[in-house]
Amino acid sequence: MSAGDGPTRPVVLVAAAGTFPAEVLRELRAGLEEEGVPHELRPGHDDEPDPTALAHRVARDSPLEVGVGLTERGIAVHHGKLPAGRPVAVDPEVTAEVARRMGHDAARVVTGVPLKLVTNEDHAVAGDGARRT
Amino acid sequence: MASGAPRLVVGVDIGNSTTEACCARFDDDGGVEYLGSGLAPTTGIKGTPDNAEGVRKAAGQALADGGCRWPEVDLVLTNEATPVISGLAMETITETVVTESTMIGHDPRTPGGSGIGVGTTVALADLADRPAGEYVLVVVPAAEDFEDVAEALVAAAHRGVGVRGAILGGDDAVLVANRLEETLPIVDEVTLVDEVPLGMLAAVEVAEPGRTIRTLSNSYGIATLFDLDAEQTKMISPVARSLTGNRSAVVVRTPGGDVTDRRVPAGSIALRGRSSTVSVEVDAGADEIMRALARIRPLVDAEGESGTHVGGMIASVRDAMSELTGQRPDEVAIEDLLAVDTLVPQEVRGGLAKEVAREDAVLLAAMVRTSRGPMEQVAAEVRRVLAEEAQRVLEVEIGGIEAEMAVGGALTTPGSGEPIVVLDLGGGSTDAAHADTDGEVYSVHVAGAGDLVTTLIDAELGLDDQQVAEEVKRYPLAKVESFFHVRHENGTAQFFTEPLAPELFARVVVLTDEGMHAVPGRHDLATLRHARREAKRRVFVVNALRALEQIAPGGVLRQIEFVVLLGGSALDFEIPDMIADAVAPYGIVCGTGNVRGSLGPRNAVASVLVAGHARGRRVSGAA
Repeated sequence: MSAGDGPTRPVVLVAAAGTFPAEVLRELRAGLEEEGVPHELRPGHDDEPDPTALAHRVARDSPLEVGVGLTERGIAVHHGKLPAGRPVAVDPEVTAEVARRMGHDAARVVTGVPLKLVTNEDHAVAGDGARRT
Repeated sequence: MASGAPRLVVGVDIGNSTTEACCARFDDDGGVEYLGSGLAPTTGIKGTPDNAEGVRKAAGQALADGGCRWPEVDLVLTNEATPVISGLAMETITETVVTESTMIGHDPRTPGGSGIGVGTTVALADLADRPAGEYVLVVVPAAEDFEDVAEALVAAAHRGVGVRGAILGGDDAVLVANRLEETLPIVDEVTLVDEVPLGMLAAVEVAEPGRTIRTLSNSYGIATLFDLDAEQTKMISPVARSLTGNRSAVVVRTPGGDVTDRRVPAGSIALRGRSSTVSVEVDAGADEIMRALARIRPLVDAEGESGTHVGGMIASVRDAMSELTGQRPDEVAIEDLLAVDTLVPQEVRGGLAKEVAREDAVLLAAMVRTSRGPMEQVAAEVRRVLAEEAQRVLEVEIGGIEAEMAVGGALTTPGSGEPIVVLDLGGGSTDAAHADTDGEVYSVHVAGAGDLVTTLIDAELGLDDQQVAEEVKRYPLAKVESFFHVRHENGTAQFFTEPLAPELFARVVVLTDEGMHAVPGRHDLATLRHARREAKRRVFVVNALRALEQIAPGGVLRQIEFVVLLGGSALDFEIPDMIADAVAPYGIVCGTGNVRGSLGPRNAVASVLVAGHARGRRVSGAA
């Protein structure tokens, strides 16, 4: 993997690592599609269990500067210009419902539409620096 | 006065919404040195013993500000407090009622496909049973998966069923549209999709991105699709009207269905002057009411026609005031009214997707000037409360005519001069006092001020939250354009090194003293700003002119040279400019006051109370 050889097309990058139900990834992609924003999949590595770090890594490679990280420990949306520890959104629940919302929000960061988020969005992914300081 | 003459004096002005105080030290020659000032919300109704707590707070602040302590205080001076109480009522005078659910006209962010489709509404579950050649619109519950839906639509089309469009419960329109072989209009996020009548002729329209629908927002467009006659077209016209400006819509033709654009009998209002009474239909609009009021001024009382909306409005204002003052409702005399026309978003009764129609409404602000409060009781309570603070009995004196003192205080504004008018922009009423060159002071109170502006903003934007409306009124707006910058309402951009919260992303925010707060809802910045400025103009500019006309010598505004704005709303970031612009053509110098050259539009009366006492001392000292 060499940084800088990212896609030239304007896409949100979605990286998935580890195991999770297939419908989760499907709903994540559906959220992006419903908002009309293209995306590409990127492989995650098994040594990247933190969705926030994963999202940030691919966000920095994305021409649109937006990345989504999906691991067993949660789903995160990140922007390449944001500090690594401060994702746009992160949720420790790996469910179809959360995935759909994250897909929408990743697309909305690109299109400049207010985010769906959740009212109680202070879920911190254990020890992964998702907390705000 | 004797040798134990007061040395530390506190002046307190009990206002309708704010109590202001200042403290000052007198030297032996009667010279005054102002030490500090303070302000607190008025507790209870102005002119009642409940005010004592507010006095304690405001005076305590003034002392702390001046580095003084309660035991040092020799005398407390307070004003004559004549309460001006105001009430507000709003009624919508039109109402859109949809019976048997005839339309769905909402704006999901992401409808699918485009074009217009006409067919019979069919549930997704029954689609497989429909014969070839039939034109259908498919109604899909929220729980259905987008791939299954797309497959079912494609399969039906292959069988020869004319699938012309779809109505979805979930947010899946684009997903379904992307999986079809032809472009069909699809509307989604229809909350009450289960209540869409089935087996009825219906039309779905979706416009291209950035466009609005053209057929279903046109009465004749609907008539053409559904083959309506003139009478039926009349009935459908409110539907077309309420769909205007949407990107997508559904209209279902239900045989017994009916949409009415009902005008609620608003009734008439009788304005009683000293010599005559004029009756105005509220339907005629706020301008007509205000013109009638100007004809019969001064208003003695106002009555609403019983059994009508306006009757209810006036009664509710009266009840609220009688509750506040302890007077019987029929003893409450309304001395001024301000009527404002407004458009209020209201959920359409019988709609399926929380559709909103803008209905005409009239807002009324009424004002009552009650009999002078029992000031001796107020003074006694103030004395009792302050004795707790000072640990001894304090002398509390009442004195001075409020309007005169307001003028006196305003005149301490550098650059002001006579003939002067003081405009006190308060919460409930806008008060004006005029001093002619002989020092004679006249005053007038007109209904409507800051509270009415908040109510107007709240109603027009459909916020349904007074606190949010208050913030929209009080602070400038900005649009958060990225995680690192906002664009202010005047177009300038501001960069932040610390990323902005995701909750604020792409939102319109109010720039409060405690940071940015997102404004709920989907209003854009231009709409919010327009509603805010219009509300201020229709209340404060209208009232400033109304008050000045009533108080100017011979009603001629050119006779006034200086207008000094006082009160809380004189601190607003745009109201003073709006009023100054409105009076500029009359050659009037107008601006926010600066009492004693340093206090802004605050503390005018309290300062004059103290200064007046100083003059009194000099006079008595000389005698």
